[in-house]
Amino acid sequence: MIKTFKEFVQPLSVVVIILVAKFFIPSAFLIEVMIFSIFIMSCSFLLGYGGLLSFGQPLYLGVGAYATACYLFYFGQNPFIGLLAGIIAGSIFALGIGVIIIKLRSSYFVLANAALNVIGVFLVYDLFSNITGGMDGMWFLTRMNPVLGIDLTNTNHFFIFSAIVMLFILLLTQHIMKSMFGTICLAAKTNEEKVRFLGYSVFKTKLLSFIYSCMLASLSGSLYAIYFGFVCPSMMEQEKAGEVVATTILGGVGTLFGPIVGAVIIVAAKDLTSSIIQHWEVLVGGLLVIIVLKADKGVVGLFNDYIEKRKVILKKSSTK
Amino acid sequence: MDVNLLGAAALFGFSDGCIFFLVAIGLSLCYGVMRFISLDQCAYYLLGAYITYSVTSITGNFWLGLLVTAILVALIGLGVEKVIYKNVYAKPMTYTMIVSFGLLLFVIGIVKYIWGVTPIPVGQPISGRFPLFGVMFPYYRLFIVIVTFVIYLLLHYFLNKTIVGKAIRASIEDIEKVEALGINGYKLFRITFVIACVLSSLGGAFHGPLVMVEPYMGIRILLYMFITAVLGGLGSLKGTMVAAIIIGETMSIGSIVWAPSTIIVPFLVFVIVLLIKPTGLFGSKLLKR
Repeated sequence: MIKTFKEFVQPLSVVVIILVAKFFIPSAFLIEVMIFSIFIMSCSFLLGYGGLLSFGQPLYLGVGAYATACYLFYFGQNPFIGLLAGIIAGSIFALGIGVIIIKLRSSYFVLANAALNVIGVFLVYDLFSNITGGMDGMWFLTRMNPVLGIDLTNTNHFFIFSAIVMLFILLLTQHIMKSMFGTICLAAKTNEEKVRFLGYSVFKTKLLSFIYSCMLASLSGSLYAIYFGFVCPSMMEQEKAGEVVATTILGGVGTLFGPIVGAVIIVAAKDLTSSIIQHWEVLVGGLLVIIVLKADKGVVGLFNDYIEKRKVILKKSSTK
Repeated sequence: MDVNLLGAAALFGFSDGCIFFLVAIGLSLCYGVMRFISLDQCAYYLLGAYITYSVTSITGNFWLGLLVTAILVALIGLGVEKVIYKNVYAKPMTYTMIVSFGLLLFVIGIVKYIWGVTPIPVGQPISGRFPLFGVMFPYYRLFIVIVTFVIYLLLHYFLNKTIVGKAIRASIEDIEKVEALGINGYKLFRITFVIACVLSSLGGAFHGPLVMVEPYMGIRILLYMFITAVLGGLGSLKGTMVAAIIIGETMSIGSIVWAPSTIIVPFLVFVIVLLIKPTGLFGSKLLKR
């Protein structure tokens, strides 16, 4: 009982911190951090638990965003159904794509994803431009109606809503990480042969973790679409993939709170340096190289190591 | 369909394929020898295009531009290998990919600072056209094809006849046994990497006049480079050449049938071949995954 409470209290306290921070920090920053960290969680889960690196994560964000946009632009006016449409579209898309590309080797998977991303951007802005509006994107901010008194076009309402979504996602991810499935994922990452001996299908495990990760990415895409009230192809450009991977590793791969820490650092750094440095690629690229060379465990990983060390020291001193 | 148009597409695709070969052989050799996906070959391709453009426009001599590019990029490659890659060889493959992608982004940012973001049109250093199978074929494209074949033959000679080349080929199969023979593995890595960098930069230098020179050409070539290298079989010289021509032709001929196929068809070819034969067309079976 105490253990389940403990599991519940960590994600809750993170969300409470974000809610309290609203009194000091502009909510635009916090919303950006929350949506971005859900997006980073998708990459972190895929790399940490699926053992698959992806340079095409913006594509799945784009799928979610465009599915939501298409629903709100052409069919309905209920943003919640739009959100649902985004998640479902992302999951189905991931299932269809994953069946093919997970069969490739892991190093090929990375670039197959990158290629798919380029193709996806091309499809959106050129081939289907009569549906998606090409480079101009789709605007639907005025088409979203309030549901049961919740008006997602209002910044405060959207802030509370995304905090609730964030809490739910944190709890769900934590549950998956600690469940049998998460354990098998980790095992499949280290030794596929032995997992096969135990009677589990490596392919199915990787496929499921890929689908979950894409679902998170498309959820964040849908949230972006509803928050901005418009979508355009530059949301899903392939160059963004570097930033995603950098943030993932900076926070700590495969940890629950790493993505949030990484997102806070990156979004803050972007806001602070945007007046000094125009070309963000230099920083992201340099960061990627330095992190991998010097600290590939990320901030949360280093923090956990420090805690472990302290515990060992405390134990030694108490036994004496 | 017009037969002349088809002939023209086939010829133009051939010269495009030659550029893909120059960029992809670097990736292929690096993976073969070091088990290392070196995405930053695109960065040297980009640098090659820009440095050649700058030197050519200052001095007015394209050949001097090529020479300066080759020397500068070789030095940069040597530095990158010594400072960064030496510390990454022992890490898992995903990390090496991340480092090289980071380098690529870094170089794109630097290029944006130095040369700006606007695309620069570059004049063809060899002007004029001549009729070939009823098509007016530019001399410059013929020049690219000839130079690429000379480079192919030189590489073939280097890998098959010289001691260093033989050691590189042997280490594509099994690096541990090569080291057991008393050959310094790290030295081989360095030689391979510098050769790869220079070839990629030449690819960029040749490609500049055909397309506009702009910072994102590095990202755009990434997919074609990777698809070519994997399709041919990583570590295989002959395979890379064949794959480069296949990709160049499918792109060029496909684009006159249906314009969007320039992007989609090479990818489809790549996925289908990999699902049937995971080692690529001419990949060595000994290559460990």
